[in-house]
Amino acid sequence: MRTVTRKARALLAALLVTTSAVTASAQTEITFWHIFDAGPAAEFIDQVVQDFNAANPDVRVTHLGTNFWDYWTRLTTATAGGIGPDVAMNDLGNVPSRAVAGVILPLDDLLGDDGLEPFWPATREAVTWDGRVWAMPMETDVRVLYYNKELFRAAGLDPEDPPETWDELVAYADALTVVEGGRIQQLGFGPTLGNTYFPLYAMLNGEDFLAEDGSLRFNTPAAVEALQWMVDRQNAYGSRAMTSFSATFGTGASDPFMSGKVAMIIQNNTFPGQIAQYAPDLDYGVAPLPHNGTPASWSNGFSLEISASTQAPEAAYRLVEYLMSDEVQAAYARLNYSMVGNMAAAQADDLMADAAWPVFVEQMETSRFRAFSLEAPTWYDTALQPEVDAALLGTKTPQQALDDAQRSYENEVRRYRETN
Amino acid sequence: MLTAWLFISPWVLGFLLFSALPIGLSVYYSFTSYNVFQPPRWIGLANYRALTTDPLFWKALYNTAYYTFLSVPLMMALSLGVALLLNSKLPGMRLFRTVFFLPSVLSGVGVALLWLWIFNPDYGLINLALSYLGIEGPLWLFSPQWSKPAMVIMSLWGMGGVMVINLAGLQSIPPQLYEAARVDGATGWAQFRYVTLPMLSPTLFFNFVTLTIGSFQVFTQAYVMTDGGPVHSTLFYVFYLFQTAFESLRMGYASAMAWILFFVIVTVSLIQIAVSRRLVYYEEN
Repeated sequence: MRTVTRKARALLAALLVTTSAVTASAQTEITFWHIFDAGPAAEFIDQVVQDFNAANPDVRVTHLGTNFWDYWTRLTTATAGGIGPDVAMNDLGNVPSRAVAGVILPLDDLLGDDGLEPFWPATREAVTWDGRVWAMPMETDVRVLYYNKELFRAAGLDPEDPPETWDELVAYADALTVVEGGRIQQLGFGPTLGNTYFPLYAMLNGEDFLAEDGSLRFNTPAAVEALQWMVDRQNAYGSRAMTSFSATFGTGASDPFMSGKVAMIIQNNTFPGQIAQYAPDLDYGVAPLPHNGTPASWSNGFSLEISASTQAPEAAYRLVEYLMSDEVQAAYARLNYSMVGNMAAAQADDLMADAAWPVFVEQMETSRFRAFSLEAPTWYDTALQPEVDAALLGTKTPQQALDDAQRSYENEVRRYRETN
Repeated sequence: MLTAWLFISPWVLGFLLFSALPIGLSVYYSFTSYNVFQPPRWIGLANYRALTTDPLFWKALYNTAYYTFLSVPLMMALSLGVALLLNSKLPGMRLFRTVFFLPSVLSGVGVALLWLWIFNPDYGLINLALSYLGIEGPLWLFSPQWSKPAMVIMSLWGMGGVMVINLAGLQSIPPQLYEAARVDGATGWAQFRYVTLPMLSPTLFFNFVTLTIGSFQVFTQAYVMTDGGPVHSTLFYVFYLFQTAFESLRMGYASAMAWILFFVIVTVSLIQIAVSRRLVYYEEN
């Protein structure tokens, strides 16, 4: 009797081991790479992946977080070497580059009957190329105006009435600026300070640089007007004074707005988290960007993409679907003020109850992505920024600067076509 | 014989795999269009042709040449001057030698941040000192005219390594030559011109060549401090190459740039060697 029981137990144990081994080998393994390598974000994504694995026993996801600065090199090298991840976060601003290079899979099958409707209008164009959808907008962002209520009161301005137009912004800025002995002690508004650049001012003046044929055009009257306004604002209190003043700031506690030296600044939706960390006693307000006829803002963000060389597209689809679901997106939004791509999740009740969040949501409705150029994907850095710098320094007029930017861009396009 | 080969095999393998192979591949890539994700596609001389019409290529070449022609002579003069001073038999020389050498040991982001503050237009040390003399200092790293001179000044601060080599060269000059010169009635300046310089010429030649090669490859300051700006004034050649290769992912174009730089440096070095034959002449006597 005892021998039979022992043999039976041994047989049962062997059966269990074999079954679990068979089940394990039947599991589809996929990898997911992201930028959350430490802190609450890393714990969050770990929990999300665990939940997905538990809910999908036939799939096993291993994930890897790399810090933002090293992530891009790592991802590019691994993908080029054929050992890239099945699902990866990437730059929402240049999805077409990877679509054209054939390194990502189209995701049209992933969309429900609503298509791209659940996602912010700004992001819909960013994930589309050649009539197909190539990525999911995991996270986007938006720029708004932050203003120092205490400085407003000290200057006799109503802290609940922030500027809405460029003219109002200029009037407020002049009232809030203090210049002593040729040096700026307190600045109302600096067009190069914060999270802003010339294309944003062009957008606020109704110009998105896109010509009818899909190429880019920088030297339109609206663009020249916007650059002239930017130059005027930069030199309003002395060009040298502004440059030296701007050079004294950095990040964290030495940020121009958080240090209380600049009254109004353009920043993105993750700024409140930084203010809570570095300047918790700051009395500030948030408002939509002052515009010159076209309410607008600028967005970029992170995409979720599936590698074209994945061995398990179906499992990868499921992971992406899960990461874009209402629950996961809402939890991600709560984590650190991230403007997730899923509109319903972004407008969850507890988020909308926050003081600044409704302003971000309102601004998202008029926000746009930067125009994309396949031949010159970093046109804003290579062709445009040096000319904007020249105009701000006064070595070129805005018209000359933008004409030269146009020439630079066309040169880049021609070189791309010659060497591709 | 086999043992010998086995002993050096790690280095040979490393050299073949990590130096020779990539160098050979980059020659090949310079004739292709290669974006890393797709296989390289042969396009012949298109990269080289496109470079000749690329205004940023010429700007990068000009910036790098400007930097080299400004920093190499200044660096050689300064390091020689300091080495001469440190060669005297005064007390505390060892301390001074350490002090002058230390900056060349530091590197990286810390040094870049330090100099960003020194060059600050309002509160930086340099403009502060100039203001005491009644001069309004320039915007330094924020000015297209002064950004390269600012970087040259920054590189001069790290002259310790070159200075130490000069010092070693000075100390290897036989003192009898100086005695003989004094007996012949030579003044300090004549001693320098007829004893020091000729005897030091091999060392100076070495510094001249290596400094030039190094200056042509200036990169870190542009990458960390100015991002090639303002208005492309600090867009150095290797920085532009780096951007093209790793930010724009245009490996073929970048490889062509790398080989053009190679030929430029080789040509300049050959010219330097040819010119130096007149200097080496003194030493052979």
